[in-house]
Amino acid sequence: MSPSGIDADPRILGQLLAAQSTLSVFSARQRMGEFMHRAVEGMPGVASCAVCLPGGARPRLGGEPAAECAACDVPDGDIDHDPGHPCRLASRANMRVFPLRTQDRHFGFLLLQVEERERYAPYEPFVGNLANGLAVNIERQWHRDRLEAANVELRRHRDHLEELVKERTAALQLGLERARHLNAVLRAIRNVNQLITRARDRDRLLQEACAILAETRGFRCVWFVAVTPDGRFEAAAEAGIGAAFARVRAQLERGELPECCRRALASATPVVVADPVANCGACPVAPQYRDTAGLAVAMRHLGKTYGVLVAALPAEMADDAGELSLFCEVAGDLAFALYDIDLGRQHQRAEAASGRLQEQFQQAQKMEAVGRLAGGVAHDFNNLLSIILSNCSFALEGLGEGDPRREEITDIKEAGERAANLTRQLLSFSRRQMLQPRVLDLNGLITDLHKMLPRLLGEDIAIVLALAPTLGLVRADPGQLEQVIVNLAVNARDAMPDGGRLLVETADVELDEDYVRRHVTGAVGPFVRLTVSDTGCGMDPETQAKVFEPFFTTKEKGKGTGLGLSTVYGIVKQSNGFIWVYSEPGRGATFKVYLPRVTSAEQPWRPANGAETLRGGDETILLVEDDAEVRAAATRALRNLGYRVLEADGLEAARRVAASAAAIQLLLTDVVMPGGSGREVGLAVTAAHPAAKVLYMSGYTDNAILHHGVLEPGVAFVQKPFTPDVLGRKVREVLDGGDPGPPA
Amino acid sequence: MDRSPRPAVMGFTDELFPTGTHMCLIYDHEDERRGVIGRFLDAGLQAREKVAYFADTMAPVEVAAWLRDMGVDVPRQGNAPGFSITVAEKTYCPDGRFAPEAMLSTLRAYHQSVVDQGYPGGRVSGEMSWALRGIPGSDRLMEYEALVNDVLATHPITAVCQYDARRFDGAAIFDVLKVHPMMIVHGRIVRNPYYLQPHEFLQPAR
Repeated sequence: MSPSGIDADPRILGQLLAAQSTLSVFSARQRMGEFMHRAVEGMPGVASCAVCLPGGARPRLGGEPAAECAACDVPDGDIDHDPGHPCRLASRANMRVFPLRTQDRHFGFLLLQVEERERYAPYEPFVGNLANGLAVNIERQWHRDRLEAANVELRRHRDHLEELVKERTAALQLGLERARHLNAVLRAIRNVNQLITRARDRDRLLQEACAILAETRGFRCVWFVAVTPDGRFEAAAEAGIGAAFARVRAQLERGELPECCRRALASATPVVVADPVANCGACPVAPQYRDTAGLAVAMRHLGKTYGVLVAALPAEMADDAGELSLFCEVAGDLAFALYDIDLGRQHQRAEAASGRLQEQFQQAQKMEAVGRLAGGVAHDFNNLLSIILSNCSFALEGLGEGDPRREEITDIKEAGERAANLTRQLLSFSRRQMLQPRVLDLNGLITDLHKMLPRLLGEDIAIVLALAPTLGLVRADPGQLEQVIVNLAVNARDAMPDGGRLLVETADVELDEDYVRRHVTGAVGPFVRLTVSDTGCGMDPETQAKVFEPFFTTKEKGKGTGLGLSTVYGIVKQSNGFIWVYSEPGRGATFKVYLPRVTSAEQPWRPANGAETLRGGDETILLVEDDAEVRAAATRALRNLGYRVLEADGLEAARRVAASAAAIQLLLTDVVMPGGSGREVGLAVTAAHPAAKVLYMSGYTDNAILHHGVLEPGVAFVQKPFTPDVLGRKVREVLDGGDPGPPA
Repeated sequence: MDRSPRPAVMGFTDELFPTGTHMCLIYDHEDERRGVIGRFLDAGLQAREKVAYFADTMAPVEVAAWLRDMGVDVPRQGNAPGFSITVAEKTYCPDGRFAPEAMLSTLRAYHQSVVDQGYPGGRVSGEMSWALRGIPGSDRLMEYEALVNDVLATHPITAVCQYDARRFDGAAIFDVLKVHPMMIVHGRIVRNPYYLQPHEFLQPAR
């Protein structure tokens, strides 16, 4: 029972309790206001009610206060920040105004217009609780709204975060793909570099590099075109194209470079062809590469272009700057490899040339050794032969025609002459023979020799001359040059035991650098070529390699000295020429002698008439010779011709004789003597007798009066061994000739 | 035929309530509704009761789908002898208008089928928002709800009537309280102190 003495109606209390239980179901203020209004309207003692919820429901009061309630100007939508506006009806006596308030917020009012206070009074506390419950529910909903807003914001952040994670994951995935690709690239570069370090063959290098790049780089195809420095096609290799590449190769062999190659060769940067199908119409393989991009880059190293590297790759890879850079790097590496292979080839060629030079050097050393040996014995040997030959001549002069001793002495003389010839050949191949070069016409020399060649070669060998109608002149020792032709002819004869044909040709030739490079030796310029060919048994390469070596012979023992061709070689070399042999077994041999062509105003040399009678004289001759027997032989030969001979055995004796003699017309002196050379003798004698002419004699001069084996101009010389006839003719020639003084 | 109530498992609460309990679910959130109703139907199926659902905001197939998502063993075809999902409007207003008497007869017949078919019980739940579309007779909904209490007393079908507090206005919701002896608030069953016996509710206002 209430203080008023009126009991509360349980049904009304149930109504209020049910309302309180259900309030929490609502989230919308509108619905809460409606529900609350229905819950309290019609309560005992209440005339009208209102739930004032700005921003939510604002059911107004009815009846008398309705106008004033309706005039309330608290704006809608301001409740979150409303500090708790006063209700202007609160002070009215018949109004029960319940603030809808929590500790922190004020949302509005529940207003009851009470007309019967006593009847209403029992419900007052329940209505108050209901108002509080409504406030709490509003605030809870207010928090829920904010929570929901926060959740929305949170979801937004979460979604954003998820987006970020997706982006990062995608970026990471991209990074991983990139890393995988780079790994493949590095593997390709490593494989190519390994290939480069071991590759020694260009074609193999290019082929294997193509295969590596196609396998490890994800290229649809790879091909190389190697070109010469002037852009001509040299070689090509491919991987990933197969048989269709034959059409590209055919195009290349016709000299037609594909468009991408031409552009790459003209560019310092790689050429990217976006759509090969559309942009490489003339290329036979382009239609195979739909959805790809073409990439072409010139392979260059140290400014030299070696070719073009071409690839078809997935279009997206062609846009990657790193990909392009690595592609260029591979092209550069391969260019370096091609450069290295070139270098290796050049090195091999140089080594081969060096080997040939080494062989020539060894040959020269061998010749030098033999030459020294020959020179060493030639001096004494020739002195001995001079004595033998002179004394044979003297002995024969003293014997009657029918004297039986005459034949024996003649045999001795002929043996001496063969020995002299052998000595001369020894000096010739070792290039220590004294040369007396003359400007001469080789055709004339051959024509003169042609008369005696049939006797030398025999009837079974036909001799054919093919001489150039006009031929340049050469400077050579005529006697030595005859020796060359005779020795080559004799060599040919021995190669044709059953007969054959000997062809002797002459021609003017110009040798260029290419010839010199191919033959290692020789010189660029005008030459006269003497060619001696036979139709004999020929030679194998091993024989050819040794054919000019001294004492090398294919003839049976006792039939050859092994000096014939080595003499030829020595004479030719000493005459500043060179010789080559071409031969094959069973197909004959051809020797080509090249002698420098000269231009000279001199009249070409012609041989003296050998039939001229030997003349003597009464001039005074000073004979200087350290070998007493040679001196005696020479003195006798000269005196037999009527000359007055003064003798001396060396420089000092010569001085004394010269000092005491009234006149000396000719000094005949040995060149190599102990105590003073022939040159010093000449100077000393001509100092005392300026009009005296000088004639040197020697078996081996060792450069005492020679310059590189060639007699100096104006110097008269007679070669030991000599016969009285040879000596007499030479003395007469000098006495009748110009004014050969001593060498300067 | 034994028509006496017996304890039934509601599913969304541990407390047992007698069959024939008439409850209203006043809800403001879909998740809350699905949680309560899903468990309620599942408990019925688990108890091998005959179960019927009257759908309004969702098509029957959608209801079946969310029930399956919740783990409720819904027959593959949706409807089966012991379980049915029908369109609420067609169930409540089969002739295009709402007639409380007809629907009450339907309830009685449903209960009879439960008994005849040997089910240990029957339960139904219906979405009531169809009544907001101005269908003729829908203004008699509260009258119907009041009379349901009498029918269920003799034909104990356990029933949950669903009222969406976002769609029914506050005053209507308050009236719903008058005709349901039990309210489900936030998943709990509350005995309604404001409940009026059918004859009280239906007597003319003084």
